[in-house]
Amino acid sequence: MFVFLKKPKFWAYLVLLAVAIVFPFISPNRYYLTVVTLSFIYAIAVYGLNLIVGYLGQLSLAQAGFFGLGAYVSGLLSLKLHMSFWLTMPLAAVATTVVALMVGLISFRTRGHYFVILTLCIGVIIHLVIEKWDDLTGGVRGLIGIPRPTSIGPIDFISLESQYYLVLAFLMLTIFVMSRIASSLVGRTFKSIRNSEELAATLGINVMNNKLLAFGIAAFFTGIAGALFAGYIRFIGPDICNPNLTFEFLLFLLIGGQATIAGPLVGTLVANGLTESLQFMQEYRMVVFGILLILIVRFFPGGLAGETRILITKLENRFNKRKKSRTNAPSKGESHATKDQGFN
Amino acid sequence: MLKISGINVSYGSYLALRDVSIEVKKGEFVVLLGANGAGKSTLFRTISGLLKATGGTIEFKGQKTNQLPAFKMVKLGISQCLEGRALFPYMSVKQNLLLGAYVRRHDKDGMKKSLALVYDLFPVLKEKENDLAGSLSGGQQQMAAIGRALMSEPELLLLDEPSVGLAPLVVQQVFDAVKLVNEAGTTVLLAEQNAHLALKVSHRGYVLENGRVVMHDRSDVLAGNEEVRKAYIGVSD
Repeated sequence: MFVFLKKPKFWAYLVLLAVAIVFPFISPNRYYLTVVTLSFIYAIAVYGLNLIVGYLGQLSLAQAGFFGLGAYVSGLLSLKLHMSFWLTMPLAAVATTVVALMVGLISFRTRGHYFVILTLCIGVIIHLVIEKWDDLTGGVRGLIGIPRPTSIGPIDFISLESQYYLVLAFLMLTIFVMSRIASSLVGRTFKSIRNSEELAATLGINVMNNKLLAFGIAAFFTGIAGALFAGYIRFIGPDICNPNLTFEFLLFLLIGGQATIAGPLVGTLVANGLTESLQFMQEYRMVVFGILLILIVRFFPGGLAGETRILITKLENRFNKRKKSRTNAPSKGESHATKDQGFN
Repeated sequence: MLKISGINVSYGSYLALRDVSIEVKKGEFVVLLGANGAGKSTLFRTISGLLKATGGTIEFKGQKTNQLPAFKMVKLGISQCLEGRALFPYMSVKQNLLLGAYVRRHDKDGMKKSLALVYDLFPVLKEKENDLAGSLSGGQQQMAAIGRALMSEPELLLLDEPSVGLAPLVVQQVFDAVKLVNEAGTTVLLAEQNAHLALKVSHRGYVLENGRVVMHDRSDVLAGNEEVRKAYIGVSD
């Protein structure tokens, strides 16, 4: 027991968590706090995308649709039926999952490019329905005055700081669940499907059900992210399910590194940080992102997190080799360190 | 145990298998000889459910399995080792093997037992269990692929050309191991071009040409057959 206390990884996580906890106190102004809180919300959705793109190997472009769906379900329930956030958020997550499972049943009959196109269409359809269903969603005017998350006992979520902690808690939950999935048989099942569907099937893996499972889990967290967004911004318009947002999620994921646990968070924080610091360029900042994306895909396909891990592995190998030649004792750590580089 | 009667399989308008009938009895070691494009892999993929036959029936343990999807066949007891040592290159050897036991993932003790059996059969896999499967040599990859197929404790093992691209000595090693597996009670159906060795270890053989079964007999008889010798062994003395 307590072996994790000896792992450097555990202490690294602890330090990161400590930084995240004290961040509201060291943040120079409230603007940064807002940017980081929003990044965390997006990161939760990007973790969902990571499960489908990174681990399962299927490029779904319907994610902004699911994000918007989660936001609108939560927003509408709290506005029209005056339900508490703690009820509307799980309902939003469940509703998003149900829709995603239906979408998955149809779209997973296709493969490759067809799957990508089909999910893009579904994203557009969700966007159109929300924009045109004026009576229910308020059309282009959107939903205004969505209530804040209701307080639990003495804890309220009025201040920016308290909302930051609320979002941080859900982000940690997401990361925890995703890292458990990644290291379990379920995660390896997803990876085996990414590798070869045929091979997976000959091992007795039900490819369709596992794809639906990944899609459903991803949508569940995307729905949670949408509900958190609605409760935080308190105004939502049809723009939040615009397929453009899907491509932003994808950009965050590629920058951070797909099929890694740190990737979605790192990528979202870095990309959002860049977006904010390039604010003065207005829409031209996309030019910067375009070039950045090309460079990453061409030279660092593992993303920031993936490439860092490869670097650490290489250094470890070199270190082990040196230690081996110095002590001249047989060591088997050399090839072990290269195992499970995660992507592809 | 496995009875295939008059199946046709086509890719679009091209008929890859015509009226193929094959029977494999429990405990047997049957070899399927044929040149490239004769339809060996097509037949295997049809048995394991990856392809659907357009006519005829496939029966396994008395149950008609034509329409079953591939993943259900594994649970029924058929394990296929795909052609070309298809492994998951970025997973460790052990993780590859454990995925082979996917259908009995809740039976932890049984999995451990199977893993020990596979390591007994191919000790080199035990040495390399934490290495990436992609880093193994060709022969070791083939052993890992066969080992993984055994992890589901199949009653019928389908091996698709395990000798492709391997050194003669390694081929011998692999065939010896498969023979051991068969002697331990697993029925084996092997597709091969390497007739010389395959006919030595197997009980019976079928010869497939252009999607048809043109000959079937006991292995020793086939090995003595002039046409077989000419076509697949390359010596006629």
